[in-house]
Amino acid sequence: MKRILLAAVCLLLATFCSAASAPATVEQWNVFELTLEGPGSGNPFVDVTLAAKFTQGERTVTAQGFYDGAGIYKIRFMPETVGEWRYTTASNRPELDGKSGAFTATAATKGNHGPVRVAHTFHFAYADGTPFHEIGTTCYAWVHQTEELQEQTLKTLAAAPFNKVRFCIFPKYYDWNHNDPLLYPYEGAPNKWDTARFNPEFFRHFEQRIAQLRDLGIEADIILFHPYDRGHWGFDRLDAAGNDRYLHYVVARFAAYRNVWWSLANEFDFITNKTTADWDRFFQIVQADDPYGHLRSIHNGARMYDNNKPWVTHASIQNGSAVVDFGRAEIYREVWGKPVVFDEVKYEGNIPQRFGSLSAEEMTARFWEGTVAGTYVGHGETYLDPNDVLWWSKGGVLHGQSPARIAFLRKIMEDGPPTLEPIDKWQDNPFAGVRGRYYLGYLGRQAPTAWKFELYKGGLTEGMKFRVELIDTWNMTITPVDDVFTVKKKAFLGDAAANYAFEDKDGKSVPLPGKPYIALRIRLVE
Amino acid sequence: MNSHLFFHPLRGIVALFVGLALGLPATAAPAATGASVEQWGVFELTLAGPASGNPFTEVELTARFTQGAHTVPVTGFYDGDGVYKIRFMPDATGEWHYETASNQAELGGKSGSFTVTPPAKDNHGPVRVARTFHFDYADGTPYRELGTTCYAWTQRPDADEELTLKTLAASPFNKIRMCVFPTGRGPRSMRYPPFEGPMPRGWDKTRFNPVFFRHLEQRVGQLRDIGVEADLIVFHPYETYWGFNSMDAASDDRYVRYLVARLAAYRNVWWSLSNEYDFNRAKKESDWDRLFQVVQAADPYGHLRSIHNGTMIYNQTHPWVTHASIQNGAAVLDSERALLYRDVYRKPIVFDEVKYEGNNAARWGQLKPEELVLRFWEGTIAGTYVGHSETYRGAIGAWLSVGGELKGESVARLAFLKKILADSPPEGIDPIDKWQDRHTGGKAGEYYLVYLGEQAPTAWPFVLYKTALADGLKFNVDVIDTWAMTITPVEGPFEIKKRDNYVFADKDGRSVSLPGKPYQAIRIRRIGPPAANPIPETQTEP
Repeated sequence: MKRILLAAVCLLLATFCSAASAPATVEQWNVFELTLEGPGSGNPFVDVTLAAKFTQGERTVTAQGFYDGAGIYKIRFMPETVGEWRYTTASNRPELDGKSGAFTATAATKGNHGPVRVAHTFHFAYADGTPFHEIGTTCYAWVHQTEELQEQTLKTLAAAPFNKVRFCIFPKYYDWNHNDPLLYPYEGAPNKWDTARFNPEFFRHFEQRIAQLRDLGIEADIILFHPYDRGHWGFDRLDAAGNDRYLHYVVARFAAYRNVWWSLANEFDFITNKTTADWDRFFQIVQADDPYGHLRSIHNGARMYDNNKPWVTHASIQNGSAVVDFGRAEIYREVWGKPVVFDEVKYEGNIPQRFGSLSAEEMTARFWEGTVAGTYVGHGETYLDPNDVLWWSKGGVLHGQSPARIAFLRKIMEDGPPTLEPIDKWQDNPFAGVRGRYYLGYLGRQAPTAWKFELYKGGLTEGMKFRVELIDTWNMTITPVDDVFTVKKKAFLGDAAANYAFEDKDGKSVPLPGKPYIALRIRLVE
Repeated sequence: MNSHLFFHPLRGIVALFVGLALGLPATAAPAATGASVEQWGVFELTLAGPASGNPFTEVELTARFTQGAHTVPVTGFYDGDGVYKIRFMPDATGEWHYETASNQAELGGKSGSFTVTPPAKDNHGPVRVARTFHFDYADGTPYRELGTTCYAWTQRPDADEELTLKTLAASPFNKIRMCVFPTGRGPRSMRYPPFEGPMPRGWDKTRFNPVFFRHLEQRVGQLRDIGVEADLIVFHPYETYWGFNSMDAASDDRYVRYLVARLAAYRNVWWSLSNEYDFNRAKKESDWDRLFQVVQAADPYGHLRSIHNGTMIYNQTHPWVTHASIQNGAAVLDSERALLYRDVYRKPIVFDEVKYEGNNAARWGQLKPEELVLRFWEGTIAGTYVGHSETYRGAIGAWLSVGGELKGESVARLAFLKKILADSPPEGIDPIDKWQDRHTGGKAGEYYLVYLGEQAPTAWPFVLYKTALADGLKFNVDVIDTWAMTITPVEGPFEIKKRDNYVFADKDGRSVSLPGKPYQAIRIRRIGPPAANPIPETQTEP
């Protein structure tokens, strides 16, 4: 009886939904897309309102729809739980209003861990709980290059260690990158855009690239505004209504892609026509429209945005010297109590500008310093190229020597605990990890020949035993030390009551090769 | 006698006793014509009122001080024995009028006027935030913060406290961090109890002990008279014996309002809501937010407000925080660490605790003097401020705890640094080309301090970041040995020429010769007028 009733309801629904098309099943955290036909006259981008409520039991999620051109409207939804979901549309147009239906969200398949969230205050994890060890790179304008170059970039990324890429929606006009994009986001012409009429083809193309990154397991850190236009096309100087409309449209289109992160701007403070109040408003628009709470950040030039504000999920930092030294990098953690991602620390390359002339050794060292500070570091590459294809701007292929070392670091991070915390912050102690269990220490440019076995007291009791491995972060070797270290308390200034550290009970040291870029991995013998 | 004027010229206080005789009709309060007080001194109005019941909680007393269109509302306080006081710090010279209001007839409606005279020499008014990252006195004189800490110096016998004052008067310090409440356990740790009630925890928190506060005020007044700001630590986490730091919210608020009513008129008062605030388990973040706002609302003069951290940092971007008071044992080992806090908070950064010089077994109290002096220099070129203290045990204990005498070797070097800064641009030292490991502070185009720390190079290539520079500018150079306290001029000026898109260098490629010792600094000062068309401060790059 129940089954017959259900069938009748479905039949009824199917009748009502004649102008709608949607799949019957979708994978958890994938994109469910409802397509509707509606008016193509007037300006559908501004005249038509469209949203849908998606419900499962007590839970209701409102997703905004959007006009995709040629009389086609879409509503996208990312189901965060498996099972049956129902939806009903609402619109100011009768032909789009009151459409309802149901579909089933099936279990996520391999490689789909859901969107990335903040976890344990300073870190990230996928929605299914899998740790996300953030290792990003930057290709600002790769989606605005030739199709061939874009495909090459995807191929490079597929083989690279990066699990996040930062790139801009708007095209970039800057050194080594003065070419026009293949597509523009609006109807009109440079500096004469009709900001009330989007170009759906531009966005469909962008979405294709987001989805391809997703399928490679790469998060898309989408930069919503940037200063590298300077009036060339005028996307950096839309009016307030244009900016807000753009944000609503972008979020409606992209939010259902699980790998989306929102980067409100690159070098926000170099965009001189927007105030802090504008950025606050932009953040709040994105936050209000995005039903899934994708990560939100804003990247600085010379001034910092107040990352304490509640709509900032993590700090996205540019600083050319902070990750030269873990003791600098860790300072940013406590001031915001949020994950710290050094998205720009200068780039490996050989351009004359000082922001793009790091050696591969220096870039690799910055990743390690940031890692033992309990923070995350981003890569970029600026090697001169006869065709002006610099990875940092256009993508293409990687020429540098740091990516292999970054891949090596990523493997070490994945083999370690879910999070690395500074073991003894503000004390020049180069170890991060989990007190009493796991220690990863980085000796940087120093080249000592021995390391006296000594660990901060937290988590330790006398008699615990540890094994040590030497990691050559440049040559990518891991060498176990053929010894076991048993700890006992160490007195400070001969005062037994003043105890900060444990040392080896026999005062042993770990021999080191006297080379720079050595790390130590120390693990409890269970 | 119905009215007296008592002058205490040494303390700059004018005490005005009005109607001490009981039963005096409210309307009979005479105008104190002819009374005067210097600008930023303390005008004190004394009134007789009820002593029965609980005057601390039952009597409301305020006054409005008016000069032209400018009105300052001030809260009075009960000082015991039927005596009420209202203190006021005038911020402008000329004639002022006041009128009291109270829920007690004998205290309300008293009015009068007095004249505010120009400030005496060495009275520059209260310290304010200036130019985002720095401090000035109210009269515009730069205040280059150089603080020390003696947590419980006011809990000692007179001889000890007088010794501390004498030591401070001869020291370079212009701020001292000090707790209102005792920091130790047992009767010897407390000079006077702040509340009535049986020891050690039977306090009636609605009844203050005026003797405790009068003593504190005496010491704050003496600090003012030797040019030392009193950074009053309102709460701290160091004892649970007396229970002063774990009171209920109503008692906390009452205490804070009483403290502010008594002390806000002292121009050298700063409010430090807490030391190591996060180590106080009895209070939540929201309690600190509230307490800041209580202080802010009660203080008519907007004295500086901060809160000092243990391992968690309070959100210093809150509008009621005037400057960041930071404990960090490693930040000022490196100017590039220290300056990170500036951009985050865009307020003055004061590293009030960077570990201490001394021989304590605890790692926070065993810096060598060289290490503490290095921290001051690194912090200085980062455009931040650094705080001192010592843990050596002197005759009465450690300076950090009880004051007394200074035994360390850093103090003389800090006096030397202070002298150098007194001779630097009044705008203050800001980092030159931050986030680029340049280890240089100063004022672009005019004045540079380069600090080389523990490195011991024999030469420093003369290279300056481009802001405010142009070809042909000339500079004089001094090599400063920050430990030996010598300043050695380098022969002949350096003339600069643009080298690349970032820097200017000496036109002949000259370097500055150095002695190959650690702790050297280089001072570079422009000769003659600034460049006609200097390179403006620019944005950096993507």
